[in-house]
Formats: sequence, C-alpha cells, structure tokens
Amino acid sequence: MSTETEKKKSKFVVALIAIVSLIFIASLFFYTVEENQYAVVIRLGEPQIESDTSPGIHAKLPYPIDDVWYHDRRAMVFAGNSGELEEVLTKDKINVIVSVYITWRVDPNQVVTFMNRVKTTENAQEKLTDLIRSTKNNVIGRHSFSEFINANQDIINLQEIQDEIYREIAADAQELFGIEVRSAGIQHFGLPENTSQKVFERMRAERKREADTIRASGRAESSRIKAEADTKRAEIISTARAEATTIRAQADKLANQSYQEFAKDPELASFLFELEALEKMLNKDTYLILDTTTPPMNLFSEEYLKKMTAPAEEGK
Amino acid sequence: MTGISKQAEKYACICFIIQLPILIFTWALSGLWAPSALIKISVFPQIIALIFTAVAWWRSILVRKEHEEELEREQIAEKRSGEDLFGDHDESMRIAKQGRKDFDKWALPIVSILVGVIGLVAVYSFASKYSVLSSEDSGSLLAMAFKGRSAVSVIGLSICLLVPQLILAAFLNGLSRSPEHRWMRAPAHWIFVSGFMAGVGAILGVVEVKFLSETFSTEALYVLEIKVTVWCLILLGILFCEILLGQIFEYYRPRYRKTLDRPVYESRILGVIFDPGGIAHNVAHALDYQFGFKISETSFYRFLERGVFPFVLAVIVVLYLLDCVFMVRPGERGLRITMGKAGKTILNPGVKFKLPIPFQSSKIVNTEEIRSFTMGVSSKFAYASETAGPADEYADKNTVDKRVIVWTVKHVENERIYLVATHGTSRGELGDIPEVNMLSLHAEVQYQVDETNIHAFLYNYENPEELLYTIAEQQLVGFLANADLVSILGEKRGATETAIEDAIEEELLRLNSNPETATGLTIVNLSMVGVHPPLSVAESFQSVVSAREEKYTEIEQAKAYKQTIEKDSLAESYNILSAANNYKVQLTLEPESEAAQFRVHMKNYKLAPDLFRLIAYLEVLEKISEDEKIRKFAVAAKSGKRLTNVIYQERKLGYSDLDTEKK
Repeated sequence: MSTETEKKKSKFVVALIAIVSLIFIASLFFYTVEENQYAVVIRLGEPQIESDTSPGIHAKLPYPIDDVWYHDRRAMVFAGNSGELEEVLTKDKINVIVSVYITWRVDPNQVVTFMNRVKTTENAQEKLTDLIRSTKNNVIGRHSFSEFINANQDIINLQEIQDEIYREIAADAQELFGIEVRSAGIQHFGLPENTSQKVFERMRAERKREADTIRASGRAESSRIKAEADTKRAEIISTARAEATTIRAQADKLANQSYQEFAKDPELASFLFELEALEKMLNKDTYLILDTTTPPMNLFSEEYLKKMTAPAEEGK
Repeated sequence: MTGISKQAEKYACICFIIQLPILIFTWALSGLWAPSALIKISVFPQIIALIFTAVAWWRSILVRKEHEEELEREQIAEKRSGEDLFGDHDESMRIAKQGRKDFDKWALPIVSILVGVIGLVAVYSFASKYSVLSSEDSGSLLAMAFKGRSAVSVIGLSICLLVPQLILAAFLNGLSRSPEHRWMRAPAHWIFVSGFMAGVGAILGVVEVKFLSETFSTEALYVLEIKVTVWCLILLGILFCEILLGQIFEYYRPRYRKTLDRPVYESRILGVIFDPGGIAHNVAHALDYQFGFKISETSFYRFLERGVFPFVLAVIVVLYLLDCVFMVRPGERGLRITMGKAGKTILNPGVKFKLPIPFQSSKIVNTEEIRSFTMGVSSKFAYASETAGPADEYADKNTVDKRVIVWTVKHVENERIYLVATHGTSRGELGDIPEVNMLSLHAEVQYQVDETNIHAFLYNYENPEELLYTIAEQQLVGFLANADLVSILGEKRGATETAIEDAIEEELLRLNSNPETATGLTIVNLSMVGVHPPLSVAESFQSVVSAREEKYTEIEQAKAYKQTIEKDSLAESYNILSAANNYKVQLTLEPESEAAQFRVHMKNYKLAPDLFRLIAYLEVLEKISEDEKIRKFAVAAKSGKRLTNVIYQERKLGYSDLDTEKK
C-alpha cells in the first residue's frame, strides 16, 4: 500500500515538473503581442523586419537567439516637454504665446526604424519636442498676426497654418524617426503679459468710446425727436393759421356779398349804421342831455306847444 | 506518559504550521485581489489563534519537561528507596516544574493583557475607519476601497478560507476534550471566529452576484458589507474586553485541587457556542449523523497525512479556475482578450466566462457614465494646468467667491483667456497693439464612451479623453479666432454654444469615421457655463451697458416731449381754427341776416323816408331809455345854457368823469 502511494506521489511530482517545464519552454518559444502593442523579434541583434507584429501569440526562438522588443501602438497626444507654451514672433513682429499639440504613434510601416532610432516613448517625446518647437517657430514666423485672429473670413488662415505645421512635423517625424504624426493643431493662442495689458487698455478705451458713442447717439436721437416735435408743432400751427386765414377770407368774401346789398341805398345804410353805432356807444357813463330841438323832446318846444292846444307830456 | 506529552507538542506544531500560510494567504490576497472588508478583518482572529497556538505549544514543551523531570525524580527515588535523607532537598531541584509555574504566573497574564490591549486598539482604529466609509456621503471613498473587486473572486477566496478553518477548528475543538490538549481549545475558538467571518464574506459575495442591480445598487451593497464588518469588529472588541476582564476574574476564582486549569485568556463567551456540548458541537454532530463526515483525532491525522497537499493544490486550482469567471456590471461593456488579441464581440452586462490567465483576459469599460471636463479653466490633465496665457491683473487680488457670479469679481480659478477677433478697428489706429479682444469662456463638455466602439476607446489612443479635451480646446481657439466679441456676449450667446459644440462634434465625427483614428467617444452635451470679458475690462463692458440705458432714458424723455408738444400744438391749432370758424360764421350769417333786414328796411324807407328815419331813431332812444344806467337829462329850453349848472350839480354828487355829451 505504501508503494502504491509512493508511486502515486512520484507520478504527481513528475506531472508537476512536466507542467512547469512545459510552461517555461512555451515562454521560450512563444511570445504574445497585446492588442495595444507592436513587437519586433530581434534575432542575434538583428531585427527581423518581416516579424509578425499583429496582436496574438507568435513563435520565436529561445531567448539568447531571439529577443522581443515591444512598444505601444496607440496614438498619443503630445504638446512638448519644454516650451509647451512658448513665446513666438509672427511675421509682423508681434509676440504671441502658442501651444501646438500633435497626436503621434509609431508608424506601422516603420516600426523597425523607430526601434533603431528612438526605441522608447521618452526618447520619442524628446525628439518630438524639438521638432514641434522648431516647426512652430518657423511656420508662425511666416504668417502675420492677422492671419491667426481675424473677423474677416478671407484673411484668417488658421486652418491653413495648422495644416502647414502638421505637414512639416509629419514629414520630418516620419523620415527621421519612423513616427506617424496624425494631426497637429494649435490648442492655445495667447499674448504675453505686457501686450495683454495693452490690449486690455485698448479694449477699455474701445468700450469707453462705444459708451460715449452710445451716449452721444442717445443725445442726438433725443435732439432729433425734440426737433421733429418742434417742427411738427410749427407745422400744425402754421397749417391751422393758414386754414384760419382761408376761412376768414372766405368769410370776408361772403360778407362782401351781403354788403353789396347796403350799397343799393347808401344813405339809408349809413343812417342805419350810425344808429347802430349810437346804440352801442351809449353806455352807463353816458349823460344824455336832450333839449327841445331833438325829437321826441321837440314836443316840449314852444313852437310845437303853440301848434298844439292840448297839454304836452314829458316821457322819461 | 512521555509519548502522550509529545503528542500535544506535535499537534500544536502542526496546527501552527497550517495556520501560518492561511494567515499569509488571507493577508496578501484580501488586499490585492479580492478587496473584502470581512476577509481583511478575519486576519485578527487568525493572528490571535496563532499566538494562542504558539503559547500552547510552548507550554506543552514545558509540561513535557516537567513530566520528564518527575519521571527522573521517581527513578532516583526508587534507587534511593529508604533513604529519606535528601527528601526535603528534592523540591528545590525541580527546575522544569518551576519553569512551568513561572510561565503560568508571568508569561500567560502578560500575553493575555498584550493581546487584549493591542487587539482593542486595532479594532478601534479599524472600526473608526470603516464607520467613516459607511456614512452615506462617502461614495467615492467606498468605490475606491472596493475598486476593481470581483464578487466571484470574493466568494472563491471566502470559501477557500472557510473550509480549512472550519475543519481545523472542529478538529482542535474535538481534540481539546482530552486534558492534555485542553490548551488547543482557545485557538480553536478563534479559528472558528475567523471562519465565521469568511462565511459571512462569502454570503455577502453571493448576495452581490445574485441581487446586484435588481434589489440593491453596488454602493448600497458596499455599505451593507461595511456595516456588517463594523458589527464583527464590535464582536471582536467584546472578546478582547473579555480577555482583559479574565485577568481580574482569575484572582477571585476558587481553586480546587482536581480542577483542570484553563488558560486565562480562554473566552467563556465563545465557549458557550463552540465547546463540546455547545452549539457548534451539536452542529458537528448533526453533520456527522447526516453525512458520516466524522471529524475526529484519527481522521484528521489521516487527512493531514494524505490530504493537505491535494487540498492546497485544490485551493490553488479553484482560485485559478475562478479566474474563468468575470462580471460585466450594468452600464459596462467588456472585451475578451485571447493571447493579447482583443475579441470582436462586445460583452453585455452579466456573468461571463473565459479561459484562465494567461490564455484569456478581460477588459471592462464603463459606457454609461457621463464623463466631463471643463474648457477654459485649468484642466484635469496635468499638461494643461499651467496658467496658459496672461495672468489676469485682478485675478490675484480677489478671492474666489462662487455664490454671486458677476463679471467684475473672480469666480473661477485659473481662467484661460482666449483671443477674439475685433470688428471695425483699423490697423493704423492700433499701432503695436494686435487687433484682438480677449474673452474668458468656460464650457462643460459631457461625453460618453460609445458602447459599440470600445475597441477604439481602448486601443486607438493612449488617452482618448485627453485627445478629446485637446480637440475641444483647439476648436474653441479656432472658433473664437474669427468670432465677434460683442455678439458672443450678447444676442448670439446661444448660437455660439451650438456653434462650438458643432465644431467639436464635427472634428470628432471626422476622426470617428475612420476606424484607425476613431476615439470611441461621443459628445453628449456642451453647455457654456460662463462667458465674459476678462476681469480687468469687465467694468468697461458694464459701462457700455449703462451708457445704453442712459441713451434709452434720454430717447424716452425726448419721446415724451414730442408727444406733449404734438398734443399741445394740436390743441392750439384747434383754437386757431375755431376762432377763424367763429369769424366765418359771424361774417357769413350776420351780414346775410343784416342784408335781409336791410332789404326790408329799404322797402319801408322808400315808402316814407322821413317817417322811417324818425321811427328808427325813436326806437333807439326808447331802447336806451330802458337802460337805467344811462343818465338822461331833458332840457326843456331851446338853448343849453343851463346845462353847465346841471353838470356842476352832478359833479357834487360824485360823478367826476362826467362828459359833456349831448345829442
């Protein structure tokens, strides 16, 4: 019974050793490439250009003969190690602060070039920093400020400038380092401190001017409205007056027609008007002294009394 | 007798050797692989059990030595039988016995007190830590504490701890029924406690797998687990208090010769439950009766001899196989990765299976979570947090006040300032100053991982969220470069928001349309939280607004003037016209009637001119006579010589303005 257990034990140990050694051997002859990786087999120091870099498990020779180099195959966003925000001069000598970013990855067709010349992400970033900085300086120096920021759609050229930066970086990066630059863009565009202060001042002045203009236009508008009102008034009154004059003239004309009646007997008319005027003239402060020559007081005159036998009467 | 004594030592030693790897295993895995609060604190009873096992082991050595000494003494006594000369001398020669006595007297109380005090302190610190976690508003802390945890692995680990500990504890408990193994009962108790905690952990794990998202939220489950843990800690605290109190009770215990000494640290509370005849014992009996699973001294020994290695192997295999199961929680999507190569199918929520490591692994992404970042302020990405652009002169002077947001008071830290095009300023006017305006703008961008494209999210970019942020900033800079400042601040604010969102979305769609450059992200919403001129010019902008107000006031006043004047002049014109009309009426109607009257008069006049004249004249006089105010004097003389006298008299009466008028 003890030999049976012994046998069992030894079988078990053998199996265990077998499994462990199998795993070890497998690790010598196979390598796995993760979905996010590139891998290059290096045979005796010589990179195998045709080695399969797709994700999955691949065969290789054991270690001292074959070594495997891995690198991230995903694209990375990078804006430079130093001088991410850098003061740059435009063509028309205006200092601007610009930050350019790129997205880059190892060029799938030039993995070996990348491995030979760059090897690590850190190295790549270092090299790309220089490339970004020099390109940024070059390209921005070729364009005037108004091409970056402008309300005029015909003058502004920001997209073109970004494309230019992209083209230059992409060409150099691919040629020199086996890096594929997928895009480049300006993610910050600002002005240095003292220029900013000037811009602030100008903005304030501009706002003040705007405010003054608005106030002035308010005054102008108000004056216009008032003047308009005055004109309107004059117009209304003059119209009314003119109309009144017309009405009066018409009235006079009509009156004239009536007066022609009077002309038929001027003597009577003048008598009647005199009489009318007399009536109007006599008012409360008038002393009316009637002697016997004036009718009806002539009734008291001696001649009349003589004529009449009957006693005369006096009326109040 | 010697053999039996050695057996106690042997069991203590084996027990120690079994416990130690379990402890290390628990300690290591509970932190790294299956963060479970219960498994973590089950380390406490395990350590106590280990200490008590060591004490029992040590004491059994001392007891054995004492026995050996006794034997030796007996042999010597046999040899010297009859010689009582050295009888009194013998007691002082019993070194081993003295050693055992000293151990009981000094080492045991010291160990007990140390265990009690340190245990209480540890329990207190853990309990306070977990109490903080269980409060309702500590969601993020909780999530952090349980990050990356898989309920399946918690169950696996709990069971792997539960089974061996229960077997060991049951065995030791049975063993301790014989007097020489009596000291193994205390470790057995504590192993039971540890096993109990692992069991509770397993139950909670099952609850998590079974009821998650149906009955509880993940967070509610974590809170439940933390609460259970705190209760377990309180239980441990009570047990540690009992150990300390046991020291006091020991002094007042009546001592009989025949009673077997218990270790001072042995828990009476646990004894009630686990001692032979206690609850656990009856459970063990029930198991035995049902399954014939007899846990006895011999069976355990056999089990140790044959089973330990396969058991350890089985535990490893079980743990390895547990790697085949993983969970995709609600709101998540997963990928199965075979030998580094990501599978095409996207895994929906649920329990999923895969081959164990290294053949397959899994990646899980939360696709429901609304992620966000804010543009225009220092971002969560380190590279952009430097103060980009010029420092605002007001920015340092004012502290951030978030309750009232006005343009002139700083309300956001690290505002970025964007350049905006100007309208209508000519180059010559500006001199060196660039033709720009400046603007502060904050917009929150909300986005999600596209659940149909997590491949792109995981494998196209190292950090797709950083990329989105960069694109957003780039598009914003581009948009503002030819926008109009005043309309952004004013009537076109809403349109600006849409335009910026469209610009970012367009760029994102352009990238997403190519599988090589796709980001796996979609924009959910962009809201422009704030847009205002930089602090130092904000006041000027406000003055424009007040100028506009002034303008309108002035215009309104003028309009009021206009209306009054118009109405007044209309009234005046009516007056003028009415005067004219009156005149007209007078002139047209009166002369006509006069003319008519005249025609009648003329007719009469022609008949008798003198008579007519007289009548008319007298009529007038009559009319005048009716007016009492006219003073009339009738002079019945031919000449008016006496008139002067009359007038004089009138003057005396007070009529100073008398006119001499006479007709």
